[in-house]
Amino acid sequence: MSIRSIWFSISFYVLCACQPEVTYDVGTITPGTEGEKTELKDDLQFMSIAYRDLYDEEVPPSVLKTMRKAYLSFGDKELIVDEVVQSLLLSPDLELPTQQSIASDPAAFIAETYKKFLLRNPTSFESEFWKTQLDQHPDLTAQEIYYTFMTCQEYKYY
Amino acid sequence: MDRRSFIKKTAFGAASLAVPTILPSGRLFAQTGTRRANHVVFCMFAGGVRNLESVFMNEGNLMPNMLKGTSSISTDISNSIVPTPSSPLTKTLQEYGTTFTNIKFKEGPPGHYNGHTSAITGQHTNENLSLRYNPPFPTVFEMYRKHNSPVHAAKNAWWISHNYGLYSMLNHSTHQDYGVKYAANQIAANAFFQSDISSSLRHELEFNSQKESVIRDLQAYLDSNFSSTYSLNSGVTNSTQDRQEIVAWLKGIQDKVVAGQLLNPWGMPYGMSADQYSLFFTEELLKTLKPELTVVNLFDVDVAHDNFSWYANALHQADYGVARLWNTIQSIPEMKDDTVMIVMPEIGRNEVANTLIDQNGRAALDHTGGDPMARDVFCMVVGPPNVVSQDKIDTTLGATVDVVPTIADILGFGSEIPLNLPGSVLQNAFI
Repeated sequence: MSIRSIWFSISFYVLCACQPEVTYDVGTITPGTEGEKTELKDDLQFMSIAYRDLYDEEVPPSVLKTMRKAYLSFGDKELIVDEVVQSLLLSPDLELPTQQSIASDPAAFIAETYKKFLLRNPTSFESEFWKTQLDQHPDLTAQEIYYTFMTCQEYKYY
Repeated sequence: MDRRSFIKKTAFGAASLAVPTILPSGRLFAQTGTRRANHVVFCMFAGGVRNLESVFMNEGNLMPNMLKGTSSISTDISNSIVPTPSSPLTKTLQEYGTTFTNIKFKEGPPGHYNGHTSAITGQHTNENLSLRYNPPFPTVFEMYRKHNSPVHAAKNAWWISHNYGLYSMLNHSTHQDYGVKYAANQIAANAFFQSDISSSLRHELEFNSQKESVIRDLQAYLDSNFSSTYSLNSGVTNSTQDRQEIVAWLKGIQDKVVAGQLLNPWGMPYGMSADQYSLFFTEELLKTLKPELTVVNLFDVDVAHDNFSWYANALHQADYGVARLWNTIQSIPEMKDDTVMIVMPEIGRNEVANTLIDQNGRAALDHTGGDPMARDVFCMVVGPPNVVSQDKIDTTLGATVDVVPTIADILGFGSEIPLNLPGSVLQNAFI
């Protein structure tokens, strides 16, 4: 056996040695009726739900595995969750509404965004507020608005 | 004394009480006790190491960077020892300090998690220690953060665990008076800097300052319409500014990972071991964030359960890495001559071998409660010559639980700890 193959064997063994296999089930959560939210999502639920909300599909096991590994590998959990949200929003695979589509029907975009992330319709006051904001800041992108919603307090609850 | 003179003297007197000490390095801290140094790096030389193969050199000097001695490695295992580059140090590590050769893991089962927990909390453990939860006793990180005035930020305390399993939980306890509020930052660097995470998480949304202000206002608006108060699910909390510094450090490493620049950053002739990678990432952390208290964990030697020769090799590789770490510390202006490094295995290994025989005919070694040798370890304390006794061997009886009070003593908060710690300061290490 060459010294290089010994080395690889050692490295492989060390990676496997004394490493208890951990399984994690993120479970299923159900939103309350009328957008009422009282329960805090745990962080891994939060990340898998964030994926589902953006991509309209369950998080693939490989992505969940990477998110879970990142989450468990770093002590500042809030930092990691924020990093995960940003990376999901920056993925080239994510289809986002264009500036043009937002501008053509801001009320619809606002309503869809509330339903998508907060699981409720905006109040008339909220709807007006956002329409004004989109008017005043036409350079706001869907990515930035989604980030705002995904980092707000209400999104952390179900 | 006229009124003007009185006011002046009173003002100076008050100032001398209130103003924090300004150190020659320019940093500030309010005195809670006299410090021996402003940085401690505790290198847990873990995975279970016997004194026989380390400080007693029964197989020759497997650790030539750390230990004095030129005895040849036993010929029957020498073909399993992967060569390392020449030492980065001008003398062996032990010559930079004091080596204790009679340290005991006194109480509790000699398992890794018990050993780690004892070394990091300074408390004895028993078979009731849960592997599913943070330890019940405060860790040295929490004591450091709580018993300094002003309370030290999490950015100053780091636990670099070898994996993200149960060992990552040792950055804080569940103790009601301490806990996550005083936790250290924790990173399982070898996992976190793997290519999948690095390529996924290294990008950040970039806002100009005007856009950032708009987004902050919008977030505030959304939060004003929701009454529940968010509380952290778990984990250490850094301030916004510290978080930015930490993220910048993470991104810098991740960019290098993705660019393929960290495949073998030390240029080891046959690639780097997991322990060496842990030490490399520790070097990078120290160079950038310069924490006051860092604990890094090694673990490769645990291969000894199955293969004695590879255990000997793991000692050899870790030896090089630890020497390199010390050399790097001396290259960091803020840490040079102001750092004490402690190197200690968490437990030993059995005298009686198990039944697994390796490629060289050597029997493997476990670590179990019935074997006294599993409780014997060494402890090396190295530091500046005006702080640590140089090139000294000390055979007096000590304990692994002595490390926490020793760290507290070095960083000047030992007298502030209201807990009953069973260990004592390793006084013989100091001038």
